[in-house]
Amino acid sequence: MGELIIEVKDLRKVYKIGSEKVVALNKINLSIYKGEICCILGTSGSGKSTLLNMMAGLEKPTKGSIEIKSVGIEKMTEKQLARFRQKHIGFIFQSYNLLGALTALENVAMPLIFRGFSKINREKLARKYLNMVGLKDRYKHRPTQMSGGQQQRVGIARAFVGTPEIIFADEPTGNLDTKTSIEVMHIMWKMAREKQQTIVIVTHDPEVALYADKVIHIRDGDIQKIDNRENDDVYEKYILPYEVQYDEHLEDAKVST
Amino acid sequence: MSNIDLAIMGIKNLLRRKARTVLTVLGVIIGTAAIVVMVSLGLGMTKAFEQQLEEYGSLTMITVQANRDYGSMMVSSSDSSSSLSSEKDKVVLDDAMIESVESMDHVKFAIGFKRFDSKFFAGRYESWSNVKAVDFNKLALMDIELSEGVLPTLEGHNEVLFGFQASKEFYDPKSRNYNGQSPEIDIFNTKIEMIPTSNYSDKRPRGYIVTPTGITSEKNWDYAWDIFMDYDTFEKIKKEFDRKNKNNNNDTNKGNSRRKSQQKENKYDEMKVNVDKIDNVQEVQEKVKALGFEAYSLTDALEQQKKSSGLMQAVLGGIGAVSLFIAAIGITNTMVMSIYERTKEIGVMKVIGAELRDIKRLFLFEAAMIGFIGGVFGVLVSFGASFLINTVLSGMNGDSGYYGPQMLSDIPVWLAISALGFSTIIGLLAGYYPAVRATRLSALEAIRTD
Repeated sequence: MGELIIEVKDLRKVYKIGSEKVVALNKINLSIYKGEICCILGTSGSGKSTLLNMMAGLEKPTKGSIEIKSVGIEKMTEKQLARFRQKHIGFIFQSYNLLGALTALENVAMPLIFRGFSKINREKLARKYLNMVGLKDRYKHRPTQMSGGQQQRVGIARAFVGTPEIIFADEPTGNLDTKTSIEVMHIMWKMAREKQQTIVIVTHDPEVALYADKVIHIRDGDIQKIDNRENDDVYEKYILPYEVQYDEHLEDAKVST
Repeated sequence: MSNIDLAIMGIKNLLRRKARTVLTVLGVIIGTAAIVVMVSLGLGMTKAFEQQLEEYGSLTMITVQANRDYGSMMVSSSDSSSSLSSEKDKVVLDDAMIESVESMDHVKFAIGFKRFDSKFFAGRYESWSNVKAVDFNKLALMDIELSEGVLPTLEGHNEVLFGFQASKEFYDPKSRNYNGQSPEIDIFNTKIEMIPTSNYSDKRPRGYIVTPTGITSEKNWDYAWDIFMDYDTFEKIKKEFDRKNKNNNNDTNKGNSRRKSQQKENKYDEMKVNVDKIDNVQEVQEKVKALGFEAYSLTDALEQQKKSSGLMQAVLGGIGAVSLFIAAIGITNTMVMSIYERTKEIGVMKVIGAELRDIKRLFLFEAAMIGFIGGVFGVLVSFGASFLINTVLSGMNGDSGYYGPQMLSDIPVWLAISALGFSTIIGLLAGYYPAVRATRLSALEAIRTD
């Protein structure tokens, strides 16, 4: 495999609830490589979300280290973390978390505002990414005017628009039905592959895990096992049949890219 | 994040919560208007006072009093020690002193006066007016306004200038029912006699005829009761008079004793110093005081007024400041509320790439904008209020102008601009705490809130 992009060493997280200590993560060691689509699979309370939050720098570990692109992010200040996220990380949420006052286009353009893109450039890029997720006719729609699947696709466009090297997705299909979940996973898979971006997906759904090159099974704060799959495997088994089935979506995606 | 994007985003956020923004801005409007109107009243007052003072006399004139003449007054001989020390310290007002004052910077000219005890007669009427002896060569410099006649010169026979009140001071000593009404005397066409003392025994000595050439203007009360006469002319008359009336004059002894300490004697008891500009008056006045004289000018009153109106402005402005302070708390409150409402939004922005700086600037901008908009409307409201005060209240004075000029409230440009700046800064300060709070918000917890 290629270049090491995330390295987690002896990671431990203990929450204090009152006088009781709850061990969320015991001792986690894992490596994720560039371009990998990685899935952290576990039941609720297994500590999978905690692991993701710490890798995204949203939470501080109790012990251990997380290196992203060989930089220890656990030692960074809030300010440095914010800048680091801006440059290298995209984020997809379970409940989409779009800004209600803004249109789909403005939501997608938001990360580019913080990067200092001009209005023209960021709207051009935002349009391109909305086309890629198949929302060509939804630029001016507000989140409340869209279905869950459409909102999540806006969320995906927003995460990818700045072409970050790593995208973290926290239960991206958690609020979606099966059909929409497959749609969303397909889009994420295609977009990530195209630019060799790394995705880390947290999920409790084994079907989502089918799209991953690497599946990390986590239970009660410990890694139980790690499955590795060949890239072609995933494509042949899941992506190709989907493409045959849902042609019209792909038409949109191809036209825009 | 570029400034323009920040501004657009901030304004959009304010517009999203119109009602609350408008109410908060209203608080700032009231606060700003309160301060501006209060200060404008203080400024109007000072301006009015300045205009009024100018009617009393020249603001560039300093009046200097000579030190008390111990030699001539009745200083008891036993008190020799203090008399000695005062003799040493004493500075006298004489021609040499006037010359040295005139050589000071900013001094245009200095002129000396001495008031002499005298009496004037016009037919059966008499007056206790004093003669104000002055060098007639310099009288023209004083710029005395006349209502009638011309300034006296040295050419005519004992020429004098009457103050407009002095010309009305004549009365009939034999009249029993004196009702305060002064008789109408045309001083130009009446034989006016003068005795250089009012201190004579029962028999009235022979007087000297004087020639009035003019009467001072009624607009200036500075010289209203004076009768000006040339110093040397008067001195000559007085010497002659003293010689003639030596025998029955009980003043002779004093005159002799005065002569003993003559080397240090005030020639004048008052000096007027004219300064080139108002701003330099206090400086010259201090210099004259340093020489050892009492000196005062109308600018003293102006300084005093400035001090008291400064205090007034501070008090009035303070009252305004209280309302602006309350408005500032309103801004802080609004912004803190806004954080609660936007917690999730802030969290999302942080996760998708907003820097702490961006969040902070956004909140500061919104708060400053509330302050600025409030300032703009506050200043506009103040101009309106000022206009109302000036038209309505001044209108009640009538056209007499007795209560001063028409302007009661004055808003100079600097006041308007600084009020605008001040309200914006207040907004910034009020927004600082909420802004810092917004940056400290944990992104993770923010996302989890609903």
